[in-house]
Amino acid sequence: MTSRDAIGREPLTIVEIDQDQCSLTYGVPPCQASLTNSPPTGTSKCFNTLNTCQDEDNFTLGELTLRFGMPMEDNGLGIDVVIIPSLISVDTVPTKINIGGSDRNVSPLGARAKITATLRDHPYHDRLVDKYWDERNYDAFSQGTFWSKWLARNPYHQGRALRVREGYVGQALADMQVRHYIIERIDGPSNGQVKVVAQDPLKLLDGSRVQIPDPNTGTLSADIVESASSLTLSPAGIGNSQYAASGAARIGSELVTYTRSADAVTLTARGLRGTVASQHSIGDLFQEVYVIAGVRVDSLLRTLLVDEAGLDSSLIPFTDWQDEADLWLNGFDLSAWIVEPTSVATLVAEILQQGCCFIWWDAHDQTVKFRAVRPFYALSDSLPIELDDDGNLVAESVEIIAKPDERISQIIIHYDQVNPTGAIDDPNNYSRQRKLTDTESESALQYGEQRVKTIFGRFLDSANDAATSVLATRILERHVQTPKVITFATDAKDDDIRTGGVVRLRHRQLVDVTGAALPMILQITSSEESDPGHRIEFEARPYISRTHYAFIMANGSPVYGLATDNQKETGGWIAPDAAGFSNGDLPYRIL
Amino acid sequence: MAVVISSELVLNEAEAEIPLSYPRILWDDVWRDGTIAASSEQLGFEAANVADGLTWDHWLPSSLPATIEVQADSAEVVDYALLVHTLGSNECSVSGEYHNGSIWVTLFDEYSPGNDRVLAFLFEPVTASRFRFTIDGGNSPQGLPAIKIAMMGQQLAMQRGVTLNHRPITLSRKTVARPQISVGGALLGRSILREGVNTTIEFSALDADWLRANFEPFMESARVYPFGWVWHPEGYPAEVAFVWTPGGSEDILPEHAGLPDILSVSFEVEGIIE
Repeated sequence: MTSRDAIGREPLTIVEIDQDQCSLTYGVPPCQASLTNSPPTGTSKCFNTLNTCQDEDNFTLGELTLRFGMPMEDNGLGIDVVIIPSLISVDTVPTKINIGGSDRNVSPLGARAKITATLRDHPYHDRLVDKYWDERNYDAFSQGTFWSKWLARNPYHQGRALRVREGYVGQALADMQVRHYIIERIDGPSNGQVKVVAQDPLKLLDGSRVQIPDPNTGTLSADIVESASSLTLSPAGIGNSQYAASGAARIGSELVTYTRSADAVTLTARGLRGTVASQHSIGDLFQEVYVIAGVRVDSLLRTLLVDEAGLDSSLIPFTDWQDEADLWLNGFDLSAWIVEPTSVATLVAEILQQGCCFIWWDAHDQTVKFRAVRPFYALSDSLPIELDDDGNLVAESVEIIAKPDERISQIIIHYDQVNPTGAIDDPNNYSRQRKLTDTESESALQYGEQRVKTIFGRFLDSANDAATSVLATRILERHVQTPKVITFATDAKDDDIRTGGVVRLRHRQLVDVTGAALPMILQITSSEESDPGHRIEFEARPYISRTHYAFIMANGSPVYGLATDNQKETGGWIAPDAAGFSNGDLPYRIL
Repeated sequence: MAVVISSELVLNEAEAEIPLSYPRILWDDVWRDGTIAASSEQLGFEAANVADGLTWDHWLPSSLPATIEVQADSAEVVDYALLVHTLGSNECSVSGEYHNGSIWVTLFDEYSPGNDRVLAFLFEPVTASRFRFTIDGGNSPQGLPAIKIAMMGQQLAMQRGVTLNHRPITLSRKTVARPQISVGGALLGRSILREGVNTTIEFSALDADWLRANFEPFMESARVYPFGWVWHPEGYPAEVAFVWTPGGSEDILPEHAGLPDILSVSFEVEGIIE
């Protein structure tokens, strides 16, 4: 048996696909299918798939897990596990966190994990996938191919589970690392191959899939005047099928609140949220409005992901989310009227930016992680994983990339939206503004130019004055110096480094002005096992801040100059003056 | 009477027409087109898996002793048997029989290989239409064994020995190693990929008529099907492999070697030895 840190380890990659399969046996009750009834239900037995079922009323959903591996001498999994050796490659596009919307080319939601498993097509005897293979009147091995037959029998594969297990020869399947995905599509077979494309569960947020509010189709059955307090929805019956019993709605560019009984609507208030009560005509759309009223960002995101997008609640470790928000995001109670059907993905992206946080799919833990845009904080974060040139960083893998386009010197947040039916990106549609400028970086002695980032905060209102200050400060501090992205690779032995995690990098090219080594704390924004079981590629961003955030150290702690790196990250010392410590380290800021 | 020469190869002591120092190619197979039946089988590990030539699937019986039998469409001549298996790991034995129309008769005696290397038996030709293997675990089997490949048929005894530069296949493992070096020069890890075994099989000075009569049917079969390779049954009976011609080199192409009646042939194979 081999393992990650063993010389001569033998990496093993297994792709698992869960295929829907009826658990019944053809013609055995409750299955009513029959080849001998008059008339028979079919001309040959089914393949236990919905597409070939002859008694759909009794289709009993079960699961068949197909496992694919690369051809190798011995996978070490034992004789009880069937691995079809047709896997050619597994290509990964990893989850990529976009902290504070730094990367303007990526949604604040980040990039979702995506994998493409390329599999060889081949003749197949069907014994694993066809319960009745020995009753067929044809030779399965010489008729069709594995994938051509599988796709014909399983057209409903979208959304089914796909797992990638990575381990080493000799490991049991259960001991391997598992990453979880959802099948998006299967291309092919062509040129003797198929490509199975799968994404992480956050694909459920895709715009075309989920919109809030639900698009309505009810219209006014008659003209109404500015003072009208009631209306009737058309066509008949649409009230109960599409609308809540009470809520807010939009008619043209007017916002109203209402109560409803069947198709009869009572308008309880008109001309709300900066809109004007006005006449409306027969046939005008009556569109429900999704109202968010003072919900903290963590709860709001959970509601959108679970209740609206349909993400399984078990995928969200909400207690962890709440802990993070309790410490870093109090005050980010968000409000908005969503007056147009909008994709959940769009809304979540806006909320992440205005809520000063980010989320990502952790394919290992099978959870959606949540983190505030904030400094590294050793009391709640795990201590950084130490990486250095000798024991961790692969030769010629470290690259430091400057991102001058991401640097900002000013941040302007427009908030407290006046009219939700107006343009989101119109500064005049907001009554308040938060502006924070770093004049030093704009000076001729530094960068000599203004770089402005503008946020239109329709989820932030007059109750969020303090939150906008926090948001502006945290984003500006992170971007006031030219942001850097550091990419590097480690051996597979360092597999405990995960996206969202924190490392302290010691590399010969990371030095201070004297050339002395300058360990840098980085947040991992993406990780990819580019060579499964052998090499992991990382992208990380420094926790750049002009100030340290920490608690004052306990009595008995060493003086600053004698403290360890981890002590310096865990607690704080009072610096002699605003310039910081005698060794050049920046001063702390007391929370 | 069969003689066990090694744990991997069982030979008949009868005088062989072609010396036992010359290679045997085990390609003819009555199991491939016969009707397979077993005393028991587990779901997903059907008995038919032994005859498909694929080494990733296999037959698993439900209990021991277990038999697996082939019924050929007509009487066939058989003088070898081959198994790819886990009998050694499972501490099991195997015996072979044919049916003479009224009773089962021994092809080779019960044999406990002690390891999982490819197993070949050579014996006197027998003509029958039913053949079977019996797997037994004795008093202390270690789990149920897997039989990946079962073959029986007529061996191709080569007219000549292999050429002098032949690499015995069991000594020709193919491994791809990838070291991982740190910025500071340390060895961080070393991954390997075992890719089985491979070798080049080369014969020279083959009589052209002999080749056309005996070797050409094998050439046709090897375009599709794997086969057993025993390069020196007498001297190195442990060196048995289950091999196939690699992609891109499926066709075996003899060449004239100067004289019109003399041919030579060289071809690549890759495969497994356990």
